[in-house]
Amino acid sequence: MANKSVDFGKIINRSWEVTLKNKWLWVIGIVLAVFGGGAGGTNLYSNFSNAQKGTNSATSSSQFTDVIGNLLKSVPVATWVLLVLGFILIILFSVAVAWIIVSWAKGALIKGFDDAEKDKKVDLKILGSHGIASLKKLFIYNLISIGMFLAIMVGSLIVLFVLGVIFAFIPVVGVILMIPLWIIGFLGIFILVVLFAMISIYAERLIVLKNYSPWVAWKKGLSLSRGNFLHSLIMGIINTAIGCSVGCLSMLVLLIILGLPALLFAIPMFSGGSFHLPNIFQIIGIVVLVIFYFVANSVIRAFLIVFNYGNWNQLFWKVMKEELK
Amino acid sequence: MKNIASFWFRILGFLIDWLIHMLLLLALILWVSTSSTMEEATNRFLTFLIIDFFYSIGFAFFNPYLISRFGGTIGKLLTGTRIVNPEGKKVNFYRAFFRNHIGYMISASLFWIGFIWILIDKERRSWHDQIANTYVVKVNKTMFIVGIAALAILLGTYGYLVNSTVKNFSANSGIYMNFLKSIETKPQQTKTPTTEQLKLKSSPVKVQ
Repeated sequence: MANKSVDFGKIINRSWEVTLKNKWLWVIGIVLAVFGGGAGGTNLYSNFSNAQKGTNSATSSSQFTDVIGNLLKSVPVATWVLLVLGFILIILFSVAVAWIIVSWAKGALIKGFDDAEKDKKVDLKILGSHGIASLKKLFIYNLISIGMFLAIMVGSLIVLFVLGVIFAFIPVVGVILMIPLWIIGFLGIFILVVLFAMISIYAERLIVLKNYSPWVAWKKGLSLSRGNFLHSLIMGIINTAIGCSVGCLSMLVLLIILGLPALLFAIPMFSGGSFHLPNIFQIIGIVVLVIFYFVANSVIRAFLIVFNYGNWNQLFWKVMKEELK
Repeated sequence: MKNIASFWFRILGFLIDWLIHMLLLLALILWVSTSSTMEEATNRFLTFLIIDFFYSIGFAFFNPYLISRFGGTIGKLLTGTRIVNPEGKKVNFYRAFFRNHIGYMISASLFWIGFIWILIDKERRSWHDQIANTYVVKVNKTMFIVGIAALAILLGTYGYLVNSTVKNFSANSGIYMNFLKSIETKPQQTKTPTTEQLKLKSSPVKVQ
């Protein structure tokens, strides 16, 4: 495959055509936009960056006064234990449901786009059955993928800890190796995220379109992404570039279409140099504009997700054809 | 599919289910509102949260169980409607769970258009019905009246509980106000000055 050239222009045109024609696929796109997993593969990078954001935004210290402290001390320990247990159960349940939704939507979109490309009928009922057909396998695959990613991350942390201990005893080595190790570390994480995303792109399609088992799909996905790294990278860059361009353009259009009326509603609130409470018409107007903005934004994102999945589907079939040769 | 349930049957069933769910939570809030001390209120509020957490998880499995066992949730049973598969038979637990959780979330993902779809679709199927391949059918038209009566009773109980809760909170507002005051007026604890600080305080100020 590395020696063969891929007509990316043809892929993009076909994806655009199919995406425009099949509106039911947009519904699945909206689901993926809401619950994550819109990158054409697993959303490891966004998970990773979200986790980092979470740790950074932790509050510095609790601001409880003595009074509140005493009040909380009056609560029995069993209540706290049950509260934490209940909270953990709720979180686990929500994560499991979200995971099922994403797995279902991925299966539905991959197979649905494939059907649409072959000019077959695509509606919500058909998409629903496609999603259910590969739900279990995709769910297990996601567990394997995330598990492996976390295992590698934990392994890296252990190595980092060992190096830290060594550097503590031999500080000179620490000073010399500190900067190269940081660079290698960050580069390693970046490559790992990209590689896992690529593996998922191929593996998920192998599961849905070729009926592979999750573990075999992961191994085959790894070999495909290694053998077609450059093509996959170019496809990823094209998808990102189109996503950014369409995103910026649509934001600009929405700003003109919705921003100007919003301004007309807002100006009277600040007339005479002071703030006046908005009347009922202004409130309704602003609420309608905000709802319209969210709907338009969701639809654009859904369109882009379907388009991306279409591009990856076509690249996948090209790669598979070459593999068979 | 024959005897498809109309939008009004479905909205009635939905309202009954929602009110039943809310009534239990409201009853617990009423229990919290009767607290006479701040400690009691805190304990009861946390107990309310615990019950709410476990109840929500239980409820998540209870409705699919009812659908798979009896053909519908309490609201659907009271309005004489049933959830069935294309063959007109009861759906299994997994499909019911899929319909009620994954399906509902998908229907709600774009401003609840998936639910409003019942008004547009020829077979009055929402997005969650289409995804889970289910239909909602009428088995007894006269049950609509029973549904209306159930809704009226539930609304009445709901109103009574809201009214009682507000009254209780108003009557016991003193404990919350006193608590807030105790936070505001609690004198700040002064630290015992160290020997160094005492020396600095006692040393004469140099005037330049």
